[in-house]
Amino acid sequence: MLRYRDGEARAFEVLVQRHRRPIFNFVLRYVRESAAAEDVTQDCFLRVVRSADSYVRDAKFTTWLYTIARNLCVDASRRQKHRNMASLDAPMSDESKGSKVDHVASQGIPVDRQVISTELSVRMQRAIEALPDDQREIFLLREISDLQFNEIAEIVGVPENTVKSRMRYALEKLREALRDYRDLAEAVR
Amino acid sequence: MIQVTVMDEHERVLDYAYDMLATEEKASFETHLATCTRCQDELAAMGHVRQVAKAALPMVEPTERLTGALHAQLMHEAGKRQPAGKMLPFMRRVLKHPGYAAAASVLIIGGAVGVQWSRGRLLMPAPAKSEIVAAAPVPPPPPEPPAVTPAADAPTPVATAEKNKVMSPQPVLKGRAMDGVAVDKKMADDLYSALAKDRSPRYKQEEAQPKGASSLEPSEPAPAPAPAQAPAPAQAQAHAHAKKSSASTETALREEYAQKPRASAGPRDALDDVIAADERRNRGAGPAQHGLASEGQSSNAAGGLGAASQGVAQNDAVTKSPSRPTSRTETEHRAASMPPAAPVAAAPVQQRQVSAKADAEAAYGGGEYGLSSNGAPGDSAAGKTDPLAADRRHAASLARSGRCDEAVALYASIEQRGTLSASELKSYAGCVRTQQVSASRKQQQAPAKAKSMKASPVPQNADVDSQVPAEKR
Repeated sequence: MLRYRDGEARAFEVLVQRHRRPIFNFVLRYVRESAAAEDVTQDCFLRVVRSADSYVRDAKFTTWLYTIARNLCVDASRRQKHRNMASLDAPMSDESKGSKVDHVASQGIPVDRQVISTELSVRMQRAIEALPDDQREIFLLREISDLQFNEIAEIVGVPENTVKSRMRYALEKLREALRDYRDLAEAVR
Repeated sequence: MIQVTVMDEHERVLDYAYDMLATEEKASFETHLATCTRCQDELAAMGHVRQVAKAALPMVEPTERLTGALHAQLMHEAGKRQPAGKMLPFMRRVLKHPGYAAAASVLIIGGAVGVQWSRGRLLMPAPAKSEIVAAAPVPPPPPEPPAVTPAADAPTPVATAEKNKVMSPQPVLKGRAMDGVAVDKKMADDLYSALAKDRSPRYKQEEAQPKGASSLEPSEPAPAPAPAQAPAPAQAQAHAHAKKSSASTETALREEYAQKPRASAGPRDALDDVIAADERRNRGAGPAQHGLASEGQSSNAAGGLGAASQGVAQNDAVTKSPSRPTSRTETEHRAASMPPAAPVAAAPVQQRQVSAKADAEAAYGGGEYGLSSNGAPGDSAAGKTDPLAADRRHAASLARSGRCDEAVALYASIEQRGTLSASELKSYAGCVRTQQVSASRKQQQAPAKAKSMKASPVPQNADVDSQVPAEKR
């Protein structure tokens, strides 16, 4: 980022190639829509371009980038609250049968385990979507983006202990959601 | 105490699950974990949830749109950005750091103070008034001038000269600067000489004497002020000045002129002279100097009102003693105030009025005064409103047409009311020289008449009135 700030345009392409995928996944899990996730990801990197002159290496670039992405996601989520969201369980078009979850790519897992895994995934996705926003974003940043708690605290703007507490609450709720499938989960494991 | 320690160990489950404990802490927690079933269950549940979450939330590749069009657009935007110079980050760093900001502010304030100090604009605290009073020496009171009564005051030459310098108005002819052009002193001297030679037959005798001696001699005191009951118009004053002024008057004029560095002074000094003369004239202060009748002593009660009152005074003088008209205003007033019982004198006056009007029309470009030939107000509109400017133009036209007597009289009138420019002074001097030549010719032709005129001073007005029709003829 420092090289790009000093005028090396190709350095930005390196940055994009390195961070686009995790940013897109985080945004996708946050806003739950692919098109919105594309726009938010694009806006995120455009913000990086426009704010390159003011970039100061006080923290990691990743933290700065996720801060931008998280703020954009918050704004997008607020806008989406007034829209009808397409759930993963919503039926596809008339030509195809089943739901969106049925179109998740299989990993060559046996059918029985694939069914259990699919059922668990659906449960997990529903449980994650049901989490409060402050717990959900911390869970996503920790599990999807693999950030440390201190970095998450810096991104979200709360103390690290608060982040850990929220993470603990999120894990507790997810565990309650998956309690019925505990045995199945152990079987999948 | 034991309870607190157990609670701390329970809270380390999350850190242990995400491998955030240090080596000693990790070993300590593992010791606790081996004996604590609650922490074991919690750790297992956390691991299970994380595993399911990893399976439920797989990493998704960015879409085609994001890697295609949006990526190109993003790279285009990134390529358009111009890198900022080194100064902006430096300034940002300076502003962020409090020490740098304080140093910069001190530098700026110090620089501003230094600049003001170097320019001398820095306001310094004024000393107290008491210090000033104590420090400043009290000047001695100026000596009272000796009270001089007119009866006891014999007109000593020195006193008269000083009084003239202080009290009386300045001489009629001054080396003034008009429009930033300083009048040549030599030219002014020539004009004085021409005036004196023309008007005073004793000029040659005074010329032989040392300068300034005649005006300081007791036998030749400064001329007394002209009587107030016999005011003369401006042109009559000029002729009277030339006729009656003695050599001592002329010498005093020259002395005063030489003492005043007007020719070498700048326009500001000349302007100051003009202002001072105007103020004196407005006040009507002092008697006429060097044989000139003061306008303040004219029969006009409002003699101190400036140019307007001068015109009135001149008109009064014209009425009482008909003299040669020199300006349009005087001509018109004279024609209007001429008594019907003098038809003989009125005829030439009317004739002269017509000729003066024709001259003015010629000077103003035709038509009535201030109007062009087509009746529209032209360039002479100012001349219509300003009689002095009209007289200037009229005098110039008279000088050009060779009517030197009228031009000289009109120039003298203008000089009394205002100032003469360099070109006007030149024209004035030329007319005076022409008069000298004509006078010398007349003297050669009629010496007896000249002698009789020298023996019995005749009023200039009468002389001029008697000469001009002859010249016209």
